[in-house]
Amino acid sequence: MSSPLVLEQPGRWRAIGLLMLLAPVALAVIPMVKSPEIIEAGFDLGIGYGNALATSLTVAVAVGIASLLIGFPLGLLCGLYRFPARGLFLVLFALPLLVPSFLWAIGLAMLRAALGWSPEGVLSGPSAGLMVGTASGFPLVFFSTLLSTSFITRGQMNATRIAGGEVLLLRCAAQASLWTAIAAAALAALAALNDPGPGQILGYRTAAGEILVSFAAFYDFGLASRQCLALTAAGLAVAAPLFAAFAARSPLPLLARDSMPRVARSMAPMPIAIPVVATCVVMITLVPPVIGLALPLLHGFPVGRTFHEVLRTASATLIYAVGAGVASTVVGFAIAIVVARADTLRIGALVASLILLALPSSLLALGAVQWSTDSPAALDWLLRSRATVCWILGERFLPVALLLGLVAASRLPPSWAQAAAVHGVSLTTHVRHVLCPWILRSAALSMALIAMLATAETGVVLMLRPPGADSLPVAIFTVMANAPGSLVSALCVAYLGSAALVLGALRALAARARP
Amino acid sequence: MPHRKFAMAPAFAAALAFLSASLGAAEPVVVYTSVDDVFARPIVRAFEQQTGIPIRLVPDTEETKSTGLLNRLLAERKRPRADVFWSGDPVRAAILKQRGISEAYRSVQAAGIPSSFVDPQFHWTGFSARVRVLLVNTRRMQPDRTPRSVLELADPRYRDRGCIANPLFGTTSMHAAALFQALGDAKARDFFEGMRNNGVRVLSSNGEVRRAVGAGECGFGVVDTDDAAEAVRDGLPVEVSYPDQDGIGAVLVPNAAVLIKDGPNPPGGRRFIDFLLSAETEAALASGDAAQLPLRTGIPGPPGMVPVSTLKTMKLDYSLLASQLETLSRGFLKAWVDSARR
Repeated sequence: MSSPLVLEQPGRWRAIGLLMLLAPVALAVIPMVKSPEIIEAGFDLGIGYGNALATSLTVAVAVGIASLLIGFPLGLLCGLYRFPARGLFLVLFALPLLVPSFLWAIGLAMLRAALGWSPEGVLSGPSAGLMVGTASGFPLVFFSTLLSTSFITRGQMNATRIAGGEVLLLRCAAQASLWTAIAAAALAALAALNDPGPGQILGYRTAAGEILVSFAAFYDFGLASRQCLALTAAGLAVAAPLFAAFAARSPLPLLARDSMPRVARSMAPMPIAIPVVATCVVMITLVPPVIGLALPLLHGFPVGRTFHEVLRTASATLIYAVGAGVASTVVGFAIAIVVARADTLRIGALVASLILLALPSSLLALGAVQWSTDSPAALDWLLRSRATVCWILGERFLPVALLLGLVAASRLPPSWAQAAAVHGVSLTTHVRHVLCPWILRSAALSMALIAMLATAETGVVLMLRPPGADSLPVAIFTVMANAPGSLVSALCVAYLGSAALVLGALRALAARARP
Repeated sequence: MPHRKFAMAPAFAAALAFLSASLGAAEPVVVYTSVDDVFARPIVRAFEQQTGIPIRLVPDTEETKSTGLLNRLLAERKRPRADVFWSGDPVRAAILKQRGISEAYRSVQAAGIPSSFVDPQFHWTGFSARVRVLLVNTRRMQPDRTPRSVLELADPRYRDRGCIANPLFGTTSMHAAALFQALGDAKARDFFEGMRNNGVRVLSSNGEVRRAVGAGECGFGVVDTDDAAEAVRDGLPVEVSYPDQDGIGAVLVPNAAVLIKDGPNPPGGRRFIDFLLSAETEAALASGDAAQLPLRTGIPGPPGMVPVSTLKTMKLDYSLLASQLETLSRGFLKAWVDSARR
C-alpha cells in the first residue's frame, strides 16, 4: 500500500511522470519544427520581420502591464470583499475571454469609422491593439488573482485583521497573489504577441501578421516556421523569467489549513468604490467595441439567418470548448501535482508549457495536420476528428491549467499527508478524499477559463475542424468579409448574448452549490 | 431475464436502423471553398436537394487572412480529406496544379465556357466571374471628376482619395499580378510607386475598402463586383464603374473548380464539379446575392451589370499569373506593402 507521503517526498517518479505527460503534448510541434526547410535557410526571416517583431513585443509588453494594472487590484478586491453587483461584474469580466480578439478589433474599427475619427488616431494602430489585447488579457489576471486570494483561510484573514486591519490584510493578500498575477499577465502578453488579427484589422505590422503573410501569401512553411520560432524565442525571453520567478515563489505552507469552510466575504470598507472602478473598466474595455459591433444592427436584424447559423454551429462550439477545457485541465493538473514539490521540475514544466502558448496556433494546427496525414486512415477517429481539435486547443492553453493547478497543488498543506500517513491512510484514499476536493474548485475554474479561451481561438479550429463542424466564431470569421454588415453584427451579438447567458447560468449554479 | 431482453430490443432496433441508414446513405463529398460562405451555401444546398448526396463544406475566404485552406490542402497532400476545391479565383487553382495536388477532369458540363477560362490540361475549369471595379463615393467625388481607370489611383488629382485592399491577399493580389502582365514590369512598378506617393491607403480586405468608401473615408477604391453589389444593397452613397474600358480593360476573376488528386470520393467530387460548371449554377450565382457574371453567353447576368461579352477585359494567362504572383509577393509587393502601411 503506497503512503500519501509519496506526494510530499522527492522521487524519480516525478521526472518520469512529467516526461510521460509532456510527450504527447510535444507531438504536434515536432513535424513543423523538424522540417529541413527551416534549417537549410539559416536565419533568413524575410523582409522587415525584425521591425514587425519589435512592434509586436512593445504592444505585448504594454498589454501585459495594462492587464496586470487592471486585473490584479480588481481580482484582489473581488476575492476579499462583497460589494454591490459583484456577480454581474464577474460575468462581465469573463465575457472578453469568450470573444475572439478579431471581433474586438472589428468593433473598434467600426466605432472609429462611425465617429469619423482619423485612421491615424487612438482607435487604430498599436494604441488600439493595446486596447484589444488588454480587453482580452486583464480577465486572465483578474481570475487568477481571484483564485489565488481564495486560498487565504479564515484564520489567516482574522489574524491579519487583528494585527493591522484592512490595510495589512490587503497588503498581505497582494503579496500572496502578486506572482500568480504577474504570471497570468505574462500569459496575456504572450497571447497578444501571437495574435495576428488586431494588427491586420487596425493597420499596423506585427510579427504574427508577417507569419500569416508567409503562410497565406507565400505558402512558405519553412519561412513561416522560422518566423514562428523567432517569435517564440522572443516571447519566451520576456515571459520565461517571470514564470520561473513565479514557480520559485510558489508558497509551501508550513501549517495545516482551516478545514472549516471559509467565511463569507466581508462587505468592502467603501462598498460603492469597487463597482465604480469596475464600471469604468467595463466602459473602457468592453463597451466601445460592443457598440461598434452592434451599430450595423440599426439597419435591421436578420433573425432567421442568425438563428440558423447559431443552431448549425452550437454543438461543435460546445464540444470544442468543453473538450479543450477537460483535456487541458486533466493534463495541466496532473503535471501540477507531479511537479508541485520539486523546484527544478516545476520551473521546467512551466517553461515547457509556455512554449505551447508562445507558438502561433497555426503552427500547432499544421503540425497536427501533418501527423494525421502521415498516419493510417484507421486513426482518423482520433487524429481527424473533433477530438483532435479539442486536444490541440487544450494543448495550446495548457499553461493556464498548469498555472492554476500549481496555485492549488502547491498550497496543499504537507501536514495533511503526514497526518494521513501516521494514521495508515492509503494513497488512493488520501487522493480521493483530500487532494481531489482540495483542487476541485481550481479545476472547475481552469476548465471554465480554458473553455472560454478555446471558444475564442479561431486559428486552430479553422485548420483542424472536420468538414461540416464549424464553431460559431469560425462561422463569423468566414462570413465577416463579405456578408452584409447587419448579419455579421447579428451573429456577433448573438454570440455575445449566448456567452453572457451561459456565464450567468454557470454563476447562478455555482452560487447555489455553495454551502 | 425476459425484462433484460425486452430492454435490449430498442437498442438493437436503433443499431439496425443506424446500420441500414449508413449503408443506404450516399457517401458525402468534402468541398473546401475559398468562396464566401454566404454565396457558396445556397449552391451546395441546391446540389444536395438535386442529387441526395450530402456535402461537407469547409469554407474559409481568402479575405479574412487566415492561414488558409490552400495551406490545409498542401499539408494534407499525402492523404487528402477534400474531394473538390471550389476556388474564388483561378490563381489559387493554378498553384494547386503546380504543387501536384489537383487532378485533371474534363467535365461535360463545361461546354459553352470559353477556353481561355479552362486550364489547358483540365486541372481547373473556370465559371461565373467577378470583375474588379471602382467603387466611388458619390458624396465625396464630383460626378465630372470620378476616376475611370485603376491607374488613376496614382493620379495626383486624386491625392489621398484612393484605397485598395492588401495586394498580398485575395483577388487584389491577382489584380496586382495582372497589372504586371498587362503593363510590363517597369510600368507596373512605377504605377505602384505612384500609388504610394499619392497617399493611397492599403486596407485589410475588399470588405474594408467597401466600408471605407461607403463611409466617405476614401473617395474611391477597387473592389470585386460582389462587394460593390453589397454596398449598393446596403444603400451606401456609391456608384460602380467598370475601369479601363478605353485602355487595358478590367480584370475578370472567374471561380475555378478543382478535383483533388486522391480525394476520398472522386465520383462524388466529379459530380459536384459537373453541377458547379452547369449553366444552372451560373444562372443561380448571377441572380443571387453573389451577383456573379456568367461566362457563357445567353445566361441573364445580375441586374444592372454589364455582360462579360460587352466588357473590355484584360487578356490574362491565369497559369502564368500564378507563378508571377508567387515571385511578386515575395519580392516587390511585400516590400511595397511594408512601405505603404508604415
